[in-house]
Amino acid sequence: MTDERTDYLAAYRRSAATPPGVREDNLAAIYERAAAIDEEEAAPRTRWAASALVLKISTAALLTTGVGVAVAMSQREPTPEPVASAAAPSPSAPVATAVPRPPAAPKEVTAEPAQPEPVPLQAPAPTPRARKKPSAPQTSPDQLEQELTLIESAREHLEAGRRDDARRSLREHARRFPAGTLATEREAWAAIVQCGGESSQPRAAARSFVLTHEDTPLAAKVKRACKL
Amino acid sequence: MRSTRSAASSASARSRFEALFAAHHDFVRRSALALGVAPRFVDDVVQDVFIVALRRLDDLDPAASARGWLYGILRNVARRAKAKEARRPPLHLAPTPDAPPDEAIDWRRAAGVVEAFLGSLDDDKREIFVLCELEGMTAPEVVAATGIKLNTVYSRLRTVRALFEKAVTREDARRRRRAR
Repeated sequence: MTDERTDYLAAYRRSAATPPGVREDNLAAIYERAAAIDEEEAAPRTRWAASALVLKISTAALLTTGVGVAVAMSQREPTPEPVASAAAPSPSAPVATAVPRPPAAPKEVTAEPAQPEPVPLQAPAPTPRARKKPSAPQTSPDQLEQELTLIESAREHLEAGRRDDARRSLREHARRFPAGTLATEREAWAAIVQCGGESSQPRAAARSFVLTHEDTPLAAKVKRACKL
Repeated sequence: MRSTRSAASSASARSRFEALFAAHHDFVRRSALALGVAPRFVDDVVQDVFIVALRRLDDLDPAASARGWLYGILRNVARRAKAKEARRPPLHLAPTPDAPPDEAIDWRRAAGVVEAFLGSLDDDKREIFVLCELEGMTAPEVVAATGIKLNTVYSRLRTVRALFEKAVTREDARRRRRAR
């Protein structure tokens, strides 16, 4: 390569040099973000444990009343309940399905095909089927990359003012990774998306997020974005 | 489980990561810029790359090229970041404070030529130019980092060198015309 071309390349390298302090800032940000991801990985375990406890208490309370018995009995009727019918019969199954559902639940299930429900932005509540995976979620780097892609895509759409597309990306994330490593990120972005939307209570999700994730960088982000 | 927690839990893993970071941060940042990541996103991209690296630290073969491994991660992360902007805003090139004014103008001009040249290349050629010409990687290193066939690397390298030569010649001719 001629000296002249080498000079051009050297000039480019010089122009693209890392400004002072940026390297240190990046390292600090990496540890901070990695710690947030660790917390998110640990959080689902805590949530599962809390859900299980609530489920047990609710079950005990309901089963001591007539309502609980009636609901439990109604679940035994041959209704097209996908979770109960698909699952292998186990002693705990009727109790578990009975608790989170109100008495009218079987009717809703039969009417379900007529009106497709929108995919919620929040991760679906833990169901007996979901609990078949008792171990803590293990995030592979590939999964993390896929999750990052969806969250980044939502952020890009939002920045470009494409709120519906942002919602779509977040729903896709909720569908594919309900308890994913970036589930909290998703909730934060969902709250931010709602803030500028036309919902009658656009800030409710944001307030709820801030309350449940107090003192986290994400809560600060949501507060800023939603001017809470 | 390959988590950040497990990777970073031991002091040795942390020091290993920080050595990797210190040695290659500037390479990752410079390459991200040269690959077309917008300056305002570049540090997000650098962080994403090293977060993935931190989580996958155990995958890094000590005998393999760490630069190549990091570049493999950067490639994916940068692709997403580049989608944010179809058109890249120009680099804000600032002269170093101690550079005399004439020299500052000169290196900024030269850097601008390379910048424009990079912008004129398609992704495939730009990648080879960045790795081989700007970063000085060998062709086998590029093969290991990208999975591109060796012959293809050499073929693209020949092409981008010829194109760069033309760009430099054109720029010199323009400069001479202006000087007259």
